[in-house]
Amino acid sequence: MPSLKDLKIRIDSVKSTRKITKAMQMVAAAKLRRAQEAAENARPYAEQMATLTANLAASMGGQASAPLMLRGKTDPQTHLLVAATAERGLCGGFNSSIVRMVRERARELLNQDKNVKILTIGKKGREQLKREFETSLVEHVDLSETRHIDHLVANRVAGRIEAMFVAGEFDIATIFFSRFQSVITQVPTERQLIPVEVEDDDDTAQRFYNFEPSETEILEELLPRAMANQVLTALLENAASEQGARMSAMDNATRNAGDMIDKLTIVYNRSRQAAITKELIEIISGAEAL
Amino acid sequence: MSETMKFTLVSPLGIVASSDASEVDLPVTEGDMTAMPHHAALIGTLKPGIIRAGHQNEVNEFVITGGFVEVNEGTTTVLAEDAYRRQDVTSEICDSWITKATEEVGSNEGARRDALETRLAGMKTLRAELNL
Repeated sequence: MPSLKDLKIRIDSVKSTRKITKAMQMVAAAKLRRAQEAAENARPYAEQMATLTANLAASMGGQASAPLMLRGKTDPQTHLLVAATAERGLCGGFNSSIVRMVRERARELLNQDKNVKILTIGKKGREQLKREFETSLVEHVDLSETRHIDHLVANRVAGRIEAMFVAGEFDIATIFFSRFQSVITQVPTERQLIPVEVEDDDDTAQRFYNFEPSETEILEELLPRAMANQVLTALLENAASEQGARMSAMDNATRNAGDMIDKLTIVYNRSRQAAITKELIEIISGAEAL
Repeated sequence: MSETMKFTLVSPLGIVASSDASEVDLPVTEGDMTAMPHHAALIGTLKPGIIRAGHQNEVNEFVITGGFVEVNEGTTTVLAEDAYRRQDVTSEICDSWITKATEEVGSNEGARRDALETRLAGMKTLRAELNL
């Protein structure tokens, strides 16, 4: 049985923990709103970009002259897995669920005798993946200095990926991130970056366009940007998911701390009362003995 | 001129403009062009320049540093990484574009470098044209 003083100290420490988790929850809520707005604002651009790519790709119709980034290699050997995670922890299963997905995919590919290279974005993913795949980690993007995710950040990441592709370091690139569904649900998602995925949309199928300049030249300009935009979307969704996950994790922590305080307070009151009763009994039985 | 088409200008930061227009001046890479309703379907790349969307004696001007345009029967859609209303563009914004483009030219080689140099030159011309 802990002493009264121990209980008091324990209660105080849980109380200050609760203050911290409460503060973190509110910060996450404020950041979440901003992150969600940014993700929503970026959506029209992403949609237009996808339609444009689809229109162009449809008119190229899988010709052999199509850029490599669109048609891809026939026998892909090396896969690049882009693991986008957070720079910070304390956000529930957010980082782990992305890492788990990457890990499973990496194992699966290794079993098929493919080469796996991993590019990590965010410290947490790197730390977790280092244990099993240290030799596969090829690059790391540090976002700790980045306050806002915008297209410049995404372009930087995409630029590196593109450079690696041009240098022939991999054949297929896939990005792993967490899609923001709601504050309590974030879905770990994978999306193929290279070769650029084309959405099949019925109304884009048959239209004849004039191209200015030639379609190959436009594609060469467009594909890296479409890829960068995929990265941007992933990073924005991730940012919103991270804050959402942190918010609900911290909400749980705050509630648990509250429950704990209640329980400890009851124990504290009981022990105090027990001590008083004990003293009273001692006094009374002492008086009776006289 | 009563016929109009839908003009949309989007950037990664959001929709910059979405309105009706009877004609849109576009700085296409191979020369300026004007898109009007029923223009033949076209996809093109844009160079740094000014977009003018005209509708009923009113002209809205936007500044972009490059991007893509898709013209269809009744729509003109412009995708641009940097897009501002002309009145919102300051000399600082312009300078930051030019600084960034200069860096990019420095860190690239070959054909890509040539393309970036053309773009940088375009930005400088644009800055002069904006008269900031």
